[in-house]
This record gives sequence, C-alpha cells and structure tokens, in this order.
Amino acid sequence: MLSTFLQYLIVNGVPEYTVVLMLFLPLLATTVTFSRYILGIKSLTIYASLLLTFALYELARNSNGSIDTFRAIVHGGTLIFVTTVIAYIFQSLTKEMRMHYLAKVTLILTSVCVAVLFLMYAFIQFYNRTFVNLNPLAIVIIILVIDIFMKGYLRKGPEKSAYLIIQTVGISYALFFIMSQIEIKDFLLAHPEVVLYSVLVNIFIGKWKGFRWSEYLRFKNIKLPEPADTYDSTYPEEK
Amino acid sequence: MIAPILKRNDRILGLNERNIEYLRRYNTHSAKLIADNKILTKRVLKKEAIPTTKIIKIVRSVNELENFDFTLLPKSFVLKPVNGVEGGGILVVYNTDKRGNFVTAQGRTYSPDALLTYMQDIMEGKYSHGYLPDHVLFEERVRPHNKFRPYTFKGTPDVRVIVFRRVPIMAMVRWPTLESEGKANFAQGAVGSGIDLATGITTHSIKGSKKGQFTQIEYVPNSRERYSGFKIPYWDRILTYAVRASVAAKLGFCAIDFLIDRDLGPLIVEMNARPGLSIQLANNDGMKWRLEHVKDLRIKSEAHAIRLGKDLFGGEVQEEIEAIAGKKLISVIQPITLFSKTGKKSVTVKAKIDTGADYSSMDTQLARELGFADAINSFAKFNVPETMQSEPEVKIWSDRLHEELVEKNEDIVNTHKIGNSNGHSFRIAVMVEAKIDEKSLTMEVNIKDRSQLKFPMIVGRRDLKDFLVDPTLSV
Repeated sequence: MLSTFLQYLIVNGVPEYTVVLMLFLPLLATTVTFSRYILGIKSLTIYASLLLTFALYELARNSNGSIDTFRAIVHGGTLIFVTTVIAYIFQSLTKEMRMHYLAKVTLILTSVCVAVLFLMYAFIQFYNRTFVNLNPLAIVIIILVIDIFMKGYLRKGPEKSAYLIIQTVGISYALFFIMSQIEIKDFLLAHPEVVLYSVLVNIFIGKWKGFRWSEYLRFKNIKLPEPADTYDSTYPEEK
Repeated sequence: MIAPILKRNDRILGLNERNIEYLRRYNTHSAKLIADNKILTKRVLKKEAIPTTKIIKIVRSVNELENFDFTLLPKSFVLKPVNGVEGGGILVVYNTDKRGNFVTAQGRTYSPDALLTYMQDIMEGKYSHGYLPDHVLFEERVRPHNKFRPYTFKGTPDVRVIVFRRVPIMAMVRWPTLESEGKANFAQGAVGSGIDLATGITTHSIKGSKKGQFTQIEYVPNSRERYSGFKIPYWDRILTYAVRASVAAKLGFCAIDFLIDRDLGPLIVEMNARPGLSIQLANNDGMKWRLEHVKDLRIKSEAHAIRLGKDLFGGEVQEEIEAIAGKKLISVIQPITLFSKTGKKSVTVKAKIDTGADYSSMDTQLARELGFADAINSFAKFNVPETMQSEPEVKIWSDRLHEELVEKNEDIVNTHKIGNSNGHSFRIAVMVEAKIDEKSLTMEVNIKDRSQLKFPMIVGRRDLKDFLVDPTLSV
C-alpha cells in the first residue's frame, strides 16, 4: 500500500531522489541511534553524522543519479579534513581574543571558506577540474558542520574532540556506504514499509536497558565477587 | 565464556539503564534544575544549614562584566560557570602577583583582561548545559585538609558520595595529580579511590587519562605512599550531609561532591543529578545490585538511611584494612608493662600470649606488687581451694562469694570461673592499666598463684582485640 502511495507521488512529478532521501533519513537515523545505545560508539550530535552523510552523498552523486564512491572518499575526505584543520587552527588563534562567540564563529567560517577556495585553486593547478564542479550545497553543509565540531573542541579539548570527530566522520562514511548501494535503494523503493519497521526498532532501542557493547570493555576489569549464598551457614535439616 | 561476561550486567550499572531506570524515575525536573545550577544548589543547602563553599561574587550580565571591580577579589579564589558541565571551565586562582595578574594552580597567569575574556566565554555558554548563556560564579578557595597533603598534587581532592533514596550507595575520592594539573577530574588524568562506606577508608584505586582510559594504580606517583588505606576525615559528617543534601534538593539518585577544608571541614561544592559510572571502576564493584537492594526498602529516617548504607554496602575491607593498618603485631612471648593501682609504679614482665584463654591472669606476687594486697587477703580469708574437680563445685563457690567479694572490696571488679586441663578454679579479678608495645589498654585480670609456672602472667583473648599474634616474631 505504501509503495502504491510512493508510486503515485513519483508518477505525479515528485523526483525519485526526493522520495529515496525521505526513506533513507529515518533508516540512517536509526543506525546512528543503534550505534549510540547498543554499540556505544560516541559521536558528536546525530545531526552532524546525518548532515555529513547527505553531504557526502551529494558530492558523490552524478547528474544521472549514479554514485561515484571514489569522489566521496577523495574529494569529501579532503574537504572535511582541510576545513576541520583550518577551523582548529583558527579556533586556537582566536581563543585568547576578547570577542563574542558568534563573531568568533563567523571569523572561523570565513577562514574556512577562503581555505576551500584555495583548495579548489590547488586542485585545478595540480590535479584535475572535478573539484570545481562539486555540489556547492554539499560544500556549505560540510562547512557548517564544522561549527558542531568546534563546539566539541571547546568543551572537550583537542584530544577528546579529535577522537569524537573521527568517530563522527567514520559513522558518516559507514552510513554513506549503506546509502550508496543501489540494491538497498531499490529494495527500499520496492518495500518502503521497512521504514515502518524502523519505528519498532527505535522503540526497542529506546527501551533498551542493557549494557552498551562498549561498556563490556569499559567494565571488564571490575572483579565481581562470587555470588554469595543467602545464608552464611547451612542449618541442619529438621528431623 | 560469554555467560559470565553477559552476567556483569546483573551487578554493574550501564548508561542506558541509568538514564531510563534511575534518572528519569527518581529525579524530578525541578530537582535537576537545582542540581544543575550552582547558585540554586547553595541556596537550597543553606536553608538546611548544610555547609557549602562560600560565594564571593556572581557576574550575571555583560554590563556587570564591563564594570567588574578586580579589587573586590581576594588573593585566591575559584571562578566557575554557574551551569557548568562535567567540571569544565573551573579556574582555581592560587595567588595574585605584584602586577595584579592571577596565578592559577597550573602556574598559568591571567591578566585582568585575560580573565575578563575567560569570564565572557563562560557567559556565552562555552561550558554550560546545552551551550546556553551562563553566569560566572566566584567562590572562596578551599584550603585542603592537611592529611591529604602526601597524596595530592596542588589541587584539592574531591569526595563523592552517591545517594539513592537517601541511602549512601557508593563513594570515592578523586586525587589531583601532576598529570591532571591539580584537577580532580578523571578526564584530565586524576586518580580515584573507592571508599568503604562503613569506615571511610579508601580501597581500590584507578587512574584516568585524557584519552578516557582507566588503569589500576597502587602508589602515589613518585612516592611510597599507597592510595589505599587512607581514612577520609569527617567521614560520618560527610555521609550525613550527603543524605541531607539529597533530601533538600529532592534528588532521588544523585552524586554529592565534597571538598574538605582545613578549618571548616566538609563543604558541598556540587550536586550532580546525572552521576557518572566510573565510580564503579574505582570501587571495583557494580552499583546496580546496590540500587536494586535499596529500591524496595522503607527508609525511616536519616540515621536509618546511613546505617543501611554502611551495613549493606560497607565493611568489605574492614577486617583487611584493620589487619594491615589498625592492629599491632605481637609475639607469643611479649613484654607487658603493668601499672600499679595508684599509677605511680610500673612493672614490666614477660607475659605469655594465650589465645586459648578467655581471660588474662597474673601471679599473686605480682598483684601484690601492684597494690592489690588487700583484695588478695580478703579473698584468702574464705579459704577457697586452689583447684577443684568439677564445674558445679566452682559454681557453688561463685554463688556464695561473688556478690560479697565484689561489693566489699572496691578493687575486686569481678570473679572468674576458670576451667582447664589442670582442673577448675574460682578467682578474683581486678582492673589493671597496662601497655603492650606502646598501646595502652585496661585489662580485667584474675589473680592466681603462678609461682610454679614459667610466666608470671598470661594475656587472654579478651585483651587481644587490638593485636595480631605472629608466632615467628621474637621480642
């Protein structure tokens, strides 16, 4: 029934791409939820992971709808890496300056934008012109995600935030690979009710009280005593 | 292999369960608001007369920041965000140098201008819950209790008690280290020791790191001091305040953090409505089974809650620690100094430590030397036989003479009925002040003619509570 509904939308002019994105979003969010509460992988916000995933997908998507994984890895990777490093540098430079937070953020964003332009210049000079044609909206998304990264940096310090950022980017790439599989996309279009199942999965995760997988590692060194008997001594049986 | 690993979840509390089962159920929204706001926390505690760190000044607006008067600040103080998360943004200023710069625990200096920037960051919400705008709080700096000195680097150790439904569940102390730059924060590399709830003595210790890993640790770095076996000063007061504070803020499940001031004793610095779980690592035990124990109990009073916490979850190390730290090792044949009745004279004899005997016993001659001649003579009048054949015989003498002896002679505090392989006897007992290996004790000693025996005195079990007997020790 749901697939008939979607077919109706597509037939009446809603791009298939839009429908696919709407179907993927809850699925990917569920994956992030799963990795947080069941696996215990720490990432920054759920938005950062999802935004980056869609940005990577946009970068990799050709006009005919096919996916160029190579571009997501090289171009996307370079973009994320360069913007993060530039933001880190400017963050530490402006750290001691007395100014309002938003002004600082804007300064950092400006520097990142300039850096992206220079990056494009470098690609034209030394590599090829593919970078020039990247989806501008995807680039903007990546730059804006930097703000989330920087908040993590401010709060958690350089070491821990680097660790969190790496995990966040890692999750985004994992999600991207799920999303870029044509088989999965086709399956989703054919069986959109899968999205409804994700609701059930989320309810299950939402009520999950057991350990996160990472906690088995975290608490592995606690030496628990042997369970004690209820009574210290055994009483003789009554005759 | 898998089963015991999965079973850990029976005793240890994980984040998911903490969030769903405990935080939401036992902490109301308004209680969380109180705990998250340091000023509200203090206000609530003040009402109940629970001591907290003193506020010097609060900066609430940009206007106040612009007109901030640095001369109001004392030489040393603590600056922190009012709604800070995970101890972030706390600046401990130890001193102010001649040029008016502020020197922190880490030896960093802040000019007044730099301090204003720092305060501005706080107000912009850099360290607050949800990055919301915040206020700046100036507090008096707590000067750490002297007992902590060998264990800490610069900062002040922080004692944390987890309280659930008024009952203390678990406790730990976090020691600042060189690596943590004087901060009592695991994420910066501080050391944490579990605390035995019954005694307030530290047990097991772990060290945090900036990467978030924990390792076991035994000795204070560059020192021969052990982290374990340390008695936290004011332990009972800490427990009482922790329980009261949780009641005052209406927090069902929380962590109460204390600093212990040299003069003022324990002061509450913070209440936490979302207690972390690393305390389980420091105590080498899970928290979940403790919480489940307390879930259905009827807690009658504050004193009852503390007693429950101590009895149910404390004392696991009591024997162990006492054996190592609290008891003296003595030999089988041990010199003992006995003081005369008046206390003016003392005699040192070699006594046999007899763990087979209930009471201590000394020779008649020795007792006379100590001034108990009257007691001996008044007992001698009755011509009680030295040894008897049976217990009933001793009982007859005891029934006949006990009351009379104890009432008539003030030195005789009791009579003893002794039975051993040589037969049975009825003896009088006197109180004697004594010293064994520098430890003073008051003993109830019975008197018997031991002139034919090798030792003029034996020390029995009743007087050996504070000692351990090591047969290999020679004195």
